[in-house]
This record gives sequence, C-alpha cells and structure tokens, in this order.
Amino acid sequence: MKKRDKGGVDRREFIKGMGALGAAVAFSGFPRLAHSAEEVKFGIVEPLTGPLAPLGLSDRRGYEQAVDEINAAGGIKSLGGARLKLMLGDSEGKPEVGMAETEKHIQRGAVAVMGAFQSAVVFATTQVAEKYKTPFIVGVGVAESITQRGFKYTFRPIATDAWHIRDEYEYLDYIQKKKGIKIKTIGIFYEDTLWGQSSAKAWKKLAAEKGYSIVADLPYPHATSDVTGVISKLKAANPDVAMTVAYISDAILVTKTMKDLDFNTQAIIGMGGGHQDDAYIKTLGKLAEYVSVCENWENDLKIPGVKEANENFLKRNGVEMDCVASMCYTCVYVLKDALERAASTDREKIRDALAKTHLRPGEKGNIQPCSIIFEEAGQNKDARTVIAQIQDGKRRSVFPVQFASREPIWPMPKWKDRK
Amino acid sequence: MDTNILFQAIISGLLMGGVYALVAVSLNLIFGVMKIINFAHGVFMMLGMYFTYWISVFLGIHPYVSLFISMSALFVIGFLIQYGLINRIMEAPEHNQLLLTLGIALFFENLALFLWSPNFRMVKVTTLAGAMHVGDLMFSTPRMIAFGAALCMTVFLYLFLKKTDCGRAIRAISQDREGAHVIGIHMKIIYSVAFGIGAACVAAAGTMITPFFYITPTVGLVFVITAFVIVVLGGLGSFWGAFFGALIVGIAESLGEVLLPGSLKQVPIYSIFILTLLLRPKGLFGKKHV
Repeated sequence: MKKRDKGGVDRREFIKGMGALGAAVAFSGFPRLAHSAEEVKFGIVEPLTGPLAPLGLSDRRGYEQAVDEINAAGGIKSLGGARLKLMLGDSEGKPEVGMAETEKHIQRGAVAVMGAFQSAVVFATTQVAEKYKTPFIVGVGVAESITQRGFKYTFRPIATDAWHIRDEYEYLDYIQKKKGIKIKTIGIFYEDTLWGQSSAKAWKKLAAEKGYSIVADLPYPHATSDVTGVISKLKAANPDVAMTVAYISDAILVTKTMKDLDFNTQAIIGMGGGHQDDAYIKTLGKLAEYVSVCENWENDLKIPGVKEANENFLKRNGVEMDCVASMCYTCVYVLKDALERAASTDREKIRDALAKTHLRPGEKGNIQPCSIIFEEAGQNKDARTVIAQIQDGKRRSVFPVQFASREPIWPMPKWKDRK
Repeated sequence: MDTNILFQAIISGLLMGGVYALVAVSLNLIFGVMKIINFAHGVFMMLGMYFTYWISVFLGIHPYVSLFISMSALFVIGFLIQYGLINRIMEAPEHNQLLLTLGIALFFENLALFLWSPNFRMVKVTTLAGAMHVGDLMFSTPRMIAFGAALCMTVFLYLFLKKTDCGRAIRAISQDREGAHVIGIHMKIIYSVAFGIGAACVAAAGTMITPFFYITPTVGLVFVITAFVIVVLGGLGSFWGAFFGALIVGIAESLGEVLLPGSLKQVPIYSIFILTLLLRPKGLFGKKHV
C-alpha cells in the first residue's frame, strides 16, 4: 500500500518536471516578438484574484481603457503606428507571485511592466525589473521607500504616503489664509497597525514644523465593536480639526459615534482608505456629508482629459472612474509618451526616455493634478494629492484650487444644525 | 482624566455588554447541551443581520419588528443544521466536531460573500435612532434598546429552560446524557431544538445591533471572539456566568479604551481572562448547570 502511494507521487513529480522543462524550452526557444513594429507589449501585475480583486479590477480597467484609446488613435506614431498590447499578470496579492509574473512578462518580451497595487508587492516586482533592466512604472503603491532605493528602472508618477500628510497641512494653511479662520489644534485618531502608526508619526513631525499642535493622539484597534471611548476623548480635547486614517468598517462606526456623541469640529479629514470608498457614502447617507478626504485623484478635477476619461470609463464599465484606475490610466500614457520619444522598443532607450519625461497636467493623457517629472530614483517630484469633500452625496474636489470643482464648506455645520 | 469620560465609558461598556451577553449565553447553551464548540455562531449572527437588512430594504419594516422573522429563520436553520449534520457526529472525537462547525462557518461566510459581496451595509433607521444626553453623558437609544432586549431575551431563555417541559428536557440532557436517554427524551429532536434556540438568540443579537452597526459577511467575528472569552471567563456551561461575564467584559473593554491607547484596550479583558484561568479555572461562576 505504502509503496504504491510512493510510486504515484513519483509519477506526478515526473510530469511536473516535464512540464517545467517544456515551459523553459518554450520561453527560451520561441522568437521574441517584442521588436516587431506592429505590436509593443507591456505587462501589468495586479491582484486580479484574492481579497483585493475588486481593486485590481479597477486598475485593470484603467490600463485597458488607455491602451484602447491609444490604439484607436493610431498607436505609437514614431514606431510606424505600432499598437500597444497589454499582457495580464495576476499577483494574487502576494509578493512572490508578483515577482514570478513580472519575470514572465519580461521573458515574453514586455518593454515595461506596471503595477502592483500593494507596496509590499511593488518592492518585490521592482527588484525583478531592476535585475532585468526593464522599466517598471508604479501604478499604485504609495510607500515612500519604494523610490528611495536608488533604482534606475523604477518610476512612480503618484504621490507617496508622506506627501499626503504634507498636502493635508498645506490645505489647512490655505483655509486659514482664505477664510481667515484660525486653526491651531489638531486631533488625530487612527487604526493602530502600520498604516496608522506611520501616518501618526508623520502628522506629529510636520505639525511641529508647521506650527500646529496635536492635542489628541488616539490610536484604536481595527474592526473593534465600539469606539465611544476614543471619540469621547477626542471630544474632550476639542480640536479645531480632526484628522484620521481608517478602514471602511471603522470609518462607518466612528462617524455614527461622532453623531451620537455630538462631536463637532471645523473639519474631519480622512486619508484614502475608508473615507475614499464609495461604500462610506452609500452606507452612511447624510451622515457622511461634509467629511473630507485626502486622495490621489478625483473624477471631477478640472484638468483637460479628466471629463472625457471619466465618461469613457462610465460607458465601458458602468461605473465612474476611481482614483486607482486614473493612476493606471496615466501610467500607460506615460509609457506611450516615452515610446514616442525613444522611437524604439529597446528597454534601455525607453528607460532613458522615461527619465526625461515632462508632462504637464492635462498634457498627452496625464490626467493627474501634477506634472510628471521623474527625479533620479524614479519618484515624480511634482506629485501631489487632492482634497475632496463629500457634498450632496458625492466626493467633490476642493483643493488644490486651480483644479477644484467646488469651494470647501468650512467649518462643517454642527450636527444639530443639520436637517 | 475627565470623570465624564469614565462614566461615559462605563455606560457604553455596560450597554455593549448586554449584546455580548446574548451572544455568549446562546453560545454557552449550545456548549452546555451538545458539548460542542460552535464556531458557526458568528455566521448565525451575520445571517440574522442580513435577514434584518433585506427585510428592511424590501419591505421597509423597522429592524425591531423584523426581530421575530430573523429569529424564526435562524431557528429553522439552526434546527436543520443540528438535525442533519451535527447529530451525525455527536459521538465523534472533538476535533472532528470542531472541523464540522468551522466548515459550516466557512460555508455560510463565503455564501454571504458570493450572494451579497463584501460591501459594507447599514440599515437606515429614522425612528428610535438618536441619542439622549443627560448632562454631558450620552445614552444612545438603539444601544439602550439592544441592551434592554438582550436582557429580556436572557430572562425569557432562563425561564424557558426552568419552567417548560422542553426546557427541562434540554437541561436534563446537559446534566446527564445517558440518563436523559434512558427516561425516554428524544435526544435528536431536543438537540436540534437547543441548537435552533442558540442560533435564534444570536440572530436576535445581530438584529438588535443593526441600527448602530455595519453589516458585512465577516461581522460575526468582531463579537464572537469576545463571546468565547466571556464563556470561559464566566464558566463553561454556566448560564449566569456567561451573562455577568459579558457585562464585566463590556465594561473592562470600554474602560480599557479610554485608559489605554489603541489595541491595548483589550489588555484588561485578557488580563481578567488569564487571572481567571490561573486562579479559578472553572470560571468565575463555577461549573453549575442551569
């Protein structure tokens, strides 16, 4: 009995071995098509399955829309109208799978790879790309250290997590100047894992530099059953502005508790995450009004191309374009711009062209609220975020002023003054 | 520290403790009778919440009115699960029983993910939704109602177990399985009834918190892990142990929240828990059967 079992395993392993050999032959033996003029291939690595699948899907839609738009408009002109071809790669949300997928794309002749939604995956995939001297354009992945490693082939058009906090303070400065309101004290409350902790550190550091004082510093555990204690402490501290990072479940609970405790402040500013989720508005309805969120992009920004991109997205997918889709969309246009200037599918030449990128907001498919100019280590030095406020049941961009669609409502009305 | 904040913490902890009590008492009922640990308890709560949600969306009925519908539905589901599945493995080793209830939990959780997506939802209520303010203290109306209802249910359950034939049969089984069998109690049916009651009670807890808590397929976990701690704290199988254990844990948790930062808020609960295990391993209220 035991012997037969063993034999079975051996057979299986033999077949596996043959499979691997076959794959190896296939990769090395087939002619590379990337250099033919008709088609320029690039790969994406995104969490297309697993718990992050809905967000990965949004990313994918952003890439695909840009590819289709570019191809419909005549492809890459400097390459004789070559069409862009997108190759899908599923990271399953895991760094090691992301690495394998990146390698696969490169073996199959991708001129560049994009992705990967999670910072942890981006760390791994950019390493592979660096090794193979292939440009990696970071679509989503905000950890600051990604572009602090001195990599030559990593490029990130979007703002880092630390810059979100920089922009939040900039927004407060702007409000003080514009509305003549004094803002001095800030209360921060945040979920107490890595995300919240690192944000708290940045808030405190910048507050000292910018002349604000943090009067309440309140971490709370994620997915807890009650936050009455935290919010009553926040209320007792009575800050001018409350700033937070929260996942959606906690954001919902916190907002309800704020109403129950009648906690009023000039503004509540979340950062991405729960406050950026459409479910936040859908679940809370009117309670969500006037809450602000700092995020990378919003679909009502007054930048040439945003309206068209959003309408096209709605037509293709039945939902409006979200922040992550817009960032992936822009990445494809960044690659297109580099390909046009490089007039080649050589990865080295594309890298050099990427390093010289200069796209103003609204120029050639850059729908982000910033220019795209990469510094040495690949970070877009002009990258910035947007502050949006929930007004009439939708997030509306209110800052930076030159791109904003609405005026901020500041301070937010007290609970008892609302209908 | 502002005394107001402390009082507020005690109030909200006590109110939350009422909800924990209903979850823990029903978990304990199932353990006391069947001697199985029901990992599917959280999903019953989740199902109760979704029943309430959909009834309120499609029929526009206030969550409190749908209480009886969600309880009946979960009673039937619980009854069938015990009758069709768990009864088959009553004599099996404990780890096999764990696997079965865990499997049921995974099944329903993923069914909910499939049917209703992981999106967060909330029942929109306008009546009985606000909060009362006495001085600087806040009493949330839905939380007080949830607390009151949990209290009533617990008392009803206690009376049911004490005074009715069915309740006596349940207690008989929990005290002596073979003896109960010998005197002619229909074991399989009584097991199923007890399991159904357990499921209905936790569904009631789910329904009562929908006016102030979000709904998502994994929501049961938030409450059930605490309920397991409570059950061990109060004493496995002890009815009032679970009840008072829940109130203690509720208050300890919310005091922890205002006195300690972040995840440390759970330190008081687990400190009490570990001390109980060390000093009184049978739980605060001993192992006395209902």
